[in-house]
Amino acid sequence: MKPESPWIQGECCDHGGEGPTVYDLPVPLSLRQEWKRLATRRHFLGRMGKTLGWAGLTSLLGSRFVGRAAAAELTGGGAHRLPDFAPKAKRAIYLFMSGAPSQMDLWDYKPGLTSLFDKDLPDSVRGNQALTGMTSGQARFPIAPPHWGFSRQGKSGRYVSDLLPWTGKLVDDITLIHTMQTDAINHEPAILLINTGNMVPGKPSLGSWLSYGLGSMNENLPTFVVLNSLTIPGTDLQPISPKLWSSGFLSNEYAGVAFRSQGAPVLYLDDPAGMSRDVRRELIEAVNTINQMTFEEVGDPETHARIHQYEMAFRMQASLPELTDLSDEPASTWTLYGEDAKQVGSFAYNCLLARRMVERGVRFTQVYQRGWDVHSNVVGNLPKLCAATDRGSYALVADLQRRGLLDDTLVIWGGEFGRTVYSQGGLSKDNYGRDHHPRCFTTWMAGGGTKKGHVHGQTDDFCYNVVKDPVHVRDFNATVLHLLGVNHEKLTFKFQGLAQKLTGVVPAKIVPDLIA
Amino acid sequence: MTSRTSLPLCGIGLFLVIALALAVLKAPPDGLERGQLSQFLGRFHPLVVHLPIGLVLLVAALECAGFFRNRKHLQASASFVLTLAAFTALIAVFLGWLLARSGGYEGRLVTRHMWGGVSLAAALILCCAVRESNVKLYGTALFATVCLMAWTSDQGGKLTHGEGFLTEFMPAKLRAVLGVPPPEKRHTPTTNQVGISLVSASTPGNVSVTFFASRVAPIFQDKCVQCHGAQKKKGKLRLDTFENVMRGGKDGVIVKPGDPSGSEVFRRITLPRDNKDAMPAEGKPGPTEAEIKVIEMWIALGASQSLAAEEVRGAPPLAPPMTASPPLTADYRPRSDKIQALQSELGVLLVPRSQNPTDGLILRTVSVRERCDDAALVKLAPIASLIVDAELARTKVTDGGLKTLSTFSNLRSLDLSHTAITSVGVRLLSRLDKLETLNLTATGVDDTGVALLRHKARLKRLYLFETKCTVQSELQTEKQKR
Repeated sequence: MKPESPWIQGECCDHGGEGPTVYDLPVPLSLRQEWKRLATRRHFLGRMGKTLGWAGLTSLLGSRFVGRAAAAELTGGGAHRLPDFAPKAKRAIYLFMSGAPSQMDLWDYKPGLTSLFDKDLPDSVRGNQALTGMTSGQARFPIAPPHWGFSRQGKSGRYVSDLLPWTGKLVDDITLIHTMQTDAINHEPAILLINTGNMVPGKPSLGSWLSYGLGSMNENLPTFVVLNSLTIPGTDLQPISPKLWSSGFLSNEYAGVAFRSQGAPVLYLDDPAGMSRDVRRELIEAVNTINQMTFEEVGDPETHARIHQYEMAFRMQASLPELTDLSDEPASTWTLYGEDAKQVGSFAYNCLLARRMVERGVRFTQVYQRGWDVHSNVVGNLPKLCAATDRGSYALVADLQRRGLLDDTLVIWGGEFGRTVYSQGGLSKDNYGRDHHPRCFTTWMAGGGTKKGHVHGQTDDFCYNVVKDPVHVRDFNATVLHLLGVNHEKLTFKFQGLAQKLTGVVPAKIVPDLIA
Repeated sequence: MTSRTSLPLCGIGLFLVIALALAVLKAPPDGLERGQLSQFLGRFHPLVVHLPIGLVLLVAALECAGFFRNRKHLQASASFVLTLAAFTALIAVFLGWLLARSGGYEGRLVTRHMWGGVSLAAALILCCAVRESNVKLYGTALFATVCLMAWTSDQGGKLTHGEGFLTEFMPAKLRAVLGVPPPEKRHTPTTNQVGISLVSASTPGNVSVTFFASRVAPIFQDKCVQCHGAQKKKGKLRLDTFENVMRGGKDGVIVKPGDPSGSEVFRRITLPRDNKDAMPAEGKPGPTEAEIKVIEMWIALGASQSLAAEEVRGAPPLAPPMTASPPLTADYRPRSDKIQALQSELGVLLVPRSQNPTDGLILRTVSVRERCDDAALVKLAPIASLIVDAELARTKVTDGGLKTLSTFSNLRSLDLSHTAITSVGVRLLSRLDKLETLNLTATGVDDTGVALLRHKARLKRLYLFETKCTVQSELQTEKQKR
């Protein structure tokens, strides 16, 4: 008789079935088979145990005593829990300036730099910092003062760059954080860190945590939407990718849904010509039935995420055209956002879309504008970037404000790090470049329970180091979660033996100074 | 077990009891710390002590079972369990004595508990001795033993958890019936509390609130007195009053006024948490940065008892009270069934605002705007008092619905933007006394409709963009109010 094959290919194999797995350990065959059965049964039993337990408890005690369970049933849309406390902000919009805007050219006013043109940055300021490969070989680090003037804005009279004539008007309504800090000096890890709380890919993004933690407000639209803006010709583009809005180890239904900036916002959403909505419904019912069978057989919760996605797509067929049809916008909208907003996919258009999503119950919208990576030609590119984003950012905050939506909507504007005060490459009176700078950068927040007209933290005269009140990315994320009613220590998901959370394992602290 | 074997056992037991009683007499707990082995063994006392407790109760249960004819056989095992109870009681008393001697305990409570334990062991041995010979005496003795055990356990519980542990959260009504005095206010300062005392301080004739009493003492109270208090005085140190703090412990003074780094108390709380000497001891929550700062400032400023709180500049602010928000509504949970029925009937969501069940509900209609009309609001009336926030933007609600809404007396926030309402209906909303935010963007309302609302004291934000109202310009729609 042929002996049983010693190799049982298990589902757990990480190497596409090539290498040894846990099932290959020298243990009796029966035990290995038992493990294999357990691996698929585990999902099922784990879930069933909880469900049955709660069902039993609820019927025993009555719902009055099982408050948490009752609460979970009331949240709707698959929310896992309620806010830890009643928050000011119900939703958030993140205007993400990918590539890292220059803080000293836009927000962090350092008048003393003008007289230091082409002087060397003192070594004591830079300390033993490891620079990027792009400037570490430079013979000298000449200081490049901002090319543009700064003007007083608002009642507070704070200085804002002349590149931001629109957003500058908001200084009395926003909280400026001059002392943001990050651990990474290059785009990919830095943008992952600020979006997902970790430099290593595979973690859920801020929006996914919020979807998972707070659930949906409108079942007809995604909870987390990503809008990529059209790029600006001539700017240095850094790639962005879906791992920035992925749900990581959380179920797929919490991942961000990225709308396209050209053509149909979501592909393949329209029915083919001649297909009625009823036929589509029947088709989805049939697919769901098959998926449900798969789920009952295998017990993998991801199958449910797939069913959820089909259902969401079906509902979005009806809700999305209404969302993106701007014909019902009054004339005042166009006076505020400008004509740019009429171009589909532009940053201003996306800002308007973000406001419309706020009105329609989208929990978290992240608008990306790429191109801020000004290693050279700051003078040529920064005005283009500001022109493309300045009015849209202003219009969004002002529009939310006048429509009474800013009280419960948090708006964030910022990039993944800052830029160096010294010039990368040649410095002239007419032009300069700026390298990556993780030690300080400026981010602003508006609405959603943040302070109005507040400036947080202080950088040194070179806009290089933090002098007072640093805000690390994890502290910032903890504060954002707090503003939305979530205790960052409590919103966790057990994965790889760790209670994972957005703010990671290094203790993060909420910044009370930012909160009104 | 026959009396022939039990009597010698009782003799040995009695001998052991006398030995323990002598130990308690000759070597009472004095608060001093002793050898590690005795500490190690002693700490098993709280664990082992539950054995005699359970067993004595079991003996009583078994004996009682004997009253019923069909349970007579159970009584037969009572004798064995009783012996076991006596045996474990002896062990528990011995370990208890070790624990008490190993440091941190002295005073009336621990002495009473120890004598309770010794007496209990003696009583159990007496029970063993008379069970076979004198039923009446045995019954009385067993009853007395159970009572003695209850009293002794109570003393032990108070020793570990503090007096009033059991009754701290007793409902006021039950408290009144049983005649238990009201609980001592736990000394956790909140911003409010200090706010109040600062106000009273400014009125003449009142002693101003001191930095020690308002900021330092609460930290000791919160983090230290569990082991350094009137009951437990580890290292002969008590931190429950100013005098005791300044007196110090067996190693001398712990506070050197003006010199934080030279003060033992500051050294101990700032040691790395894994250091053997770090305080609070391992496993207990350590002091926060703000707490350390407060103690440092207090010592640096001379460790004064009388220094006024307001004279200390730059002290870290008190943490905002975590259990802040007063209830906005009644607890929604008893109405869960009704709420869920309404959700499925109307399609709306009734979402609790937070995990705090008295924060009220949000009425969320964004998925079912077409279905949400005046009739739906009427149906929501039974749970209206639970709704704090009504999101009715772009729904079919009309002036007729506002009549219903004006009875939703707990509303704080109301969004009616993009609905067909007019001034006629909006006037009714002035009945909503708790309303703080009202959004009337893009509605048919005009100045006549909002005139009444402008006088509402609680209304902080009124949005009138895209209406016929005169005040609605950009960024100024928010009602300016002091």
